[in-house]
Amino acid sequence: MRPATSYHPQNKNEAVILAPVRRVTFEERWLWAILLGLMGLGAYAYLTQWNSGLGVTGLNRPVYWGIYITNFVFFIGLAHSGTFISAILRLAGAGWRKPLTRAAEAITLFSLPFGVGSILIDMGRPDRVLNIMFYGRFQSPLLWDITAVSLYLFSSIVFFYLSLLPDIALCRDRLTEAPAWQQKMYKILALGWMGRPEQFERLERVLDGMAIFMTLLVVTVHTVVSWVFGMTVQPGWHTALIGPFFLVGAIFSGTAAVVIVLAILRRVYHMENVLPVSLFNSLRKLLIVFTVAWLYMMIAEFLTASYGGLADEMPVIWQKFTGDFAGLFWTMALAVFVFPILIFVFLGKDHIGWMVTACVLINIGMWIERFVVIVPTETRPRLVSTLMEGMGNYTPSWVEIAITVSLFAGLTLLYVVFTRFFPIVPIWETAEETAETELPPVEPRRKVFGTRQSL
Amino acid sequence: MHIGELISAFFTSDGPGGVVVITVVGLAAGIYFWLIRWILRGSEPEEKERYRFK
Amino acid sequence: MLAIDAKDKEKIVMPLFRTSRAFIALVSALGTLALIGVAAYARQLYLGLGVTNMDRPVYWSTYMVNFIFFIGISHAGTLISAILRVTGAEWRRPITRVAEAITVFALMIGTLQIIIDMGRPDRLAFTILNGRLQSPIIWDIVSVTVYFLSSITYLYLPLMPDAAILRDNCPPDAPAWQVKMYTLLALGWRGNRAQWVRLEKGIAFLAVFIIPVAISVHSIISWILATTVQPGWHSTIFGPYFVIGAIFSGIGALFLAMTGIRKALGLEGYIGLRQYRNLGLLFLTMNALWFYFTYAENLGIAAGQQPEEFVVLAAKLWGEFAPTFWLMILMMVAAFWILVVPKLLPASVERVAVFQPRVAFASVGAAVILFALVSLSPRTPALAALSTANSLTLAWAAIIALLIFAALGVTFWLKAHPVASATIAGGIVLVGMWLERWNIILPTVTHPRLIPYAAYFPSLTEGLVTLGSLALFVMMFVVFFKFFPAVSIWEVAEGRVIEAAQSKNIMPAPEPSKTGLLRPRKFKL
Repeated sequence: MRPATSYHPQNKNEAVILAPVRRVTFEERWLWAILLGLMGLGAYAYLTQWNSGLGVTGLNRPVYWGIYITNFVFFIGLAHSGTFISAILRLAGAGWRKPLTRAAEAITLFSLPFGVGSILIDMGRPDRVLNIMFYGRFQSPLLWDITAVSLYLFSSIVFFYLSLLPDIALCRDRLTEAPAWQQKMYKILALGWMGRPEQFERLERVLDGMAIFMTLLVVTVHTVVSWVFGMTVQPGWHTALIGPFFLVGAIFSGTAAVVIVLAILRRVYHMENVLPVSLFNSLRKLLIVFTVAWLYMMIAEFLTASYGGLADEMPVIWQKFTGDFAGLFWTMALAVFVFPILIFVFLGKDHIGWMVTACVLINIGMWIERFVVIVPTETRPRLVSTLMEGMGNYTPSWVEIAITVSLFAGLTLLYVVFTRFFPIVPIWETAEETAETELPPVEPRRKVFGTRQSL
Repeated sequence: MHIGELISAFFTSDGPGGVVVITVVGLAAGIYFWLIRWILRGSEPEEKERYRFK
Repeated sequence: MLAIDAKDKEKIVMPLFRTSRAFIALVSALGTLALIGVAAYARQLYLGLGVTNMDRPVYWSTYMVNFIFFIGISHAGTLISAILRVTGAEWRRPITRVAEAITVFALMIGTLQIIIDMGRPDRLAFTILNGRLQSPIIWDIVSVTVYFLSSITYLYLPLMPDAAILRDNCPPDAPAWQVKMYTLLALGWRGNRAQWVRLEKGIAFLAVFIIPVAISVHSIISWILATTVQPGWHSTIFGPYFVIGAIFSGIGALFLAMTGIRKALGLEGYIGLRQYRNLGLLFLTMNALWFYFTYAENLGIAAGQQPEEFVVLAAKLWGEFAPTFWLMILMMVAAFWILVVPKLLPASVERVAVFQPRVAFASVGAAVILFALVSLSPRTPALAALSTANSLTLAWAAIIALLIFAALGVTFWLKAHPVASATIAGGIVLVGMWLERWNIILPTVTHPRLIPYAAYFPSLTEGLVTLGSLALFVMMFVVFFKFFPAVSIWEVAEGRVIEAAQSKNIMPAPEPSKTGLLRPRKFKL
């Protein structure tokens, strides 16, 4: 039984933000259908692989990790965007992040399962993943990987849910015209949230604490993922920088993905008021820093490795600079660094179109970058003399490509369906602040909830 | 070296790794469950010492 | 005629015209130490590098450690002045001059170490005459020079208005040469609007420019080591690792300098708890990042188990460099503890026994005794029972537990003295970072790729020169702040104006939308 009325902070953009939840267009159903179709194609490809074995892919000895693992690293990297925007910017006290947090965290939430799924897809015998649970050795980076990613997935769900909670209650109270099953869903998920000031106080404190924890978790997860490569002795993988390298790359590609998603949401759901251009300008500044930081990582890696001139390392480096993977490598350099920095510095200010272009380039480039980190090393492994004639190549098959496409389709579908059930911009966080100006960073924040009048 | 024996025993054991996964995720689950309940309770008088995030 | 607030004049300007006895004593002491260092160097110059203990293969040792250490400290200025200015952190205003001064003088002393390290300093000219472009040492010279010139400019530009203020506000009995110096340095600054606009633009440009220069400086220094193939050095992580370490040690040095200046000149009204608190947060971030990078590097070597690399790591973990390595780790953990734990503990537990200072003293005493026993046990038949594996493990566990008790015992004292705790943490970090440089350079040069083993212990010459260099650094710092204001007068005044204006600020409304709001329609699925 519902006790006295619950409180929701006033937000003058509430109608705009709730509009997508109230009504689904006809065109949107077509989009869902197409995406489902792509996922079906991927399922068919996987079924082929299940029946015939991993031979239908392009994987071979010694290239035993290919596109599937690239997808794994890419999707986990994408997931870090959400945590970066929500948690790290929250800790830095950047108030402008507030409209973006849910959109960014949704990317995290929905890309993590596909990242984890990529591993299972990569296995010819997925049931063997239980071996890690039963016989996993403590020194195995794969075990740390599973632990870290599981913890991260679970914590992201909780962090997302907590910041969604007041808005679920809002939906429960406002969306009275929704079908009964949907209203019931809101009621159950709202866990009886009443919007009392003490509840908001506690929620804010827990979110602050979890923000710190999630920041540490982001660093840990992507470092541990990189150590799956870094703890081997393969040339090109066994580099100490691989931890920070992957981490910077993940936050970089993740932030670019957030820009793309925000631009689409802004256009499709008419949220120009809620997601103003100033947001994109702030993200532009961050992206400039990340682009330069990424360049720095690449220089640190390749300068040190190539100056060493070690006989095992150089074949891998030549593969990337001038060998089989030169096309991909230099495309990546253009797409990730050259074009984006030019666009950001000269064209990007106040221009969302150019920002999206640069960010699409960045994400494509970063996917290629993951590929170029993983595969060239395998084509020139340490015991390269054991490579027989015809070995050391990798050509992805249609199965792998179909599955990759379906993973992206799945991410998009989950995301789009989510935006039709829950507000994609946090209504309670972007509500009018009653007695607060934009404080400089690291000042204590004062939240005054529970009153409708200004103080 | 004595500490070295302990460490090497830890690193050369063969499992079960699931213990680590279950412990970590289980601990997190318990903490989150308790945290959500604590948030929703929200009507008890505030504690005297507050951890203020600065 | 530039006017300033009377309180600023009393606190910041007047001390520049009074010479206290304490100042003369301090400078004399430091000067003596510096002269001893110079004498030791002169002797080394005359007798050759043999008076140090450097030999093949240990051709880089204490002087190189000092070099990297001092250049590392120089990153304090860049962080505080430039990065905080670019991110708009207003709290940086009182400490920018101290930070920039640290940068300039640390760079000078750091570069001096290289020259000291050379048996034939005249060969420095070869780098210019015959230097190859692909040499990391040439890049180093270029980047450090650019950084040095930029830092001096970055110190001078905000100093110009202050020199003008001093020129106009000298007391009547000020010595003529001092007034002349300020007049010269002010370069005719009139303080009109056009000049301020240009100054702001210049400083803003320099701030953005100096950040990548600073990052490149310490990265290139690390690449001098990383582009070799020596085990322990040839690691791709060195670039960011050294930069993080530099910023870390820079903040530590800044804590020490800030507190020293604040105490000596009575500047509590300017350099307040807000500066310590925010710097403390940055400090903790850098501390955590430092641990992350150290762990990432060493874990890779441990897992890779490559024979030449692992020997170096083993020397650090349980070999002859174990004392310096674990001492360094202890220092970094202690610095982290000092700044974090006092904030986390609620005041209500102060009564609990373990948080009393006398418990801390007792624990430290017990730990020291245990440590002595453990160290002596292999050599003394009477303590033979202690040297079995089980009892040694127990003893070490007990020592660690006692140290934790000791740390808990001082927590409330630290909580009550935030400035002192920050300063202590800064000092600890400086020692720890010096040890870190030591632990990077020495194990590799004593266990290089082609030579089984070498031994090294610093000689008296190196010790005296190091001490003299430190003394010279502190002396230059102290003398500089005898003649120039410790707090940037105009920046602090500007900050006050900005704060006053911001308190009346009203948040502007967001931009209006061009499309109308969607009318919510009947719900359909």
